[in-house]
Amino acid sequence: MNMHKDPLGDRFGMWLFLFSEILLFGALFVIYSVYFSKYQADFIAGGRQLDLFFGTFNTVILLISSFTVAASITALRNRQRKTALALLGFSISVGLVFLYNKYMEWGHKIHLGIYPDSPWLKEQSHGTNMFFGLYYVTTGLHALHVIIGGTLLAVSFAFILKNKVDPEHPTLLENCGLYWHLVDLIWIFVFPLFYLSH
Amino acid sequence: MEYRSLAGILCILLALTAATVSASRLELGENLHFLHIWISIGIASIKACFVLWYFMHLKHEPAFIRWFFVIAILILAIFIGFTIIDVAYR
Repeated sequence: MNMHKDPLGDRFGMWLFLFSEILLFGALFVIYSVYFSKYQADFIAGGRQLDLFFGTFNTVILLISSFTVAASITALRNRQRKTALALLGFSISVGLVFLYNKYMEWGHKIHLGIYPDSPWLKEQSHGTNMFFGLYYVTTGLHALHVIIGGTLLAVSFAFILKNKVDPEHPTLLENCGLYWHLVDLIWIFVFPLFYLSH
Repeated sequence: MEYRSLAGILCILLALTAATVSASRLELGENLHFLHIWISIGIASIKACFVLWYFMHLKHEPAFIRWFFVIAILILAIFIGFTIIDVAYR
């Protein structure tokens, strides 16, 4: 069977999906801006309780992984299959490091008694509760996207291995790459809103 | 895109990350403290433009995909802007 291919249509479809993702996180940013204006002091105090080192480190490694994903597309186009695979493998491991850091960070917060409905939070003001509630929902939803994005990169990796994705048919890698960049794009805004409110 | 240009974009993004972290530690005083959030969002928006234009290849996409993106951001801006107006004058 001769399949009709439409790479531009495939990419446009992916972009439409990404717009819906932007609106999903956009709703969380709306909630953030409303409660930030209402409880500014609590949000600034909350931001100071977050670990700037973890936040900055995760920002840096996510930016590097975005670069390696973009470079893997260049490598595939240049017919450097092994380089493309190595760059993708590196990006997936960076995603795992990101998740491990998140696990450590959440674990530390939970150990300190800061988690939704914790006895400590119940004694705090409504603004502090909103800040940490939003922190868990936003970073949790983002971490879910890191898991999905890493899985998509692994699928691209397997397809390149099987030669189903090659320089003539790069669309799957390109679209999975777009998803990974979106994960990075959202973190670019999550990072200053939560970790840098000072 | 060439590896070298991609690496150049990464360096710009890392420099902007350093800039936003150090800007957030600046003491602006009571009256100008509100500027912090705007500086953060401004730098984040510049970073986002670099990721979109180079890493996500919007530079090489046809104009209609770029315009769709602009429309999506406008809708988000209306969504956020009108909510803030509503809350501010309630």
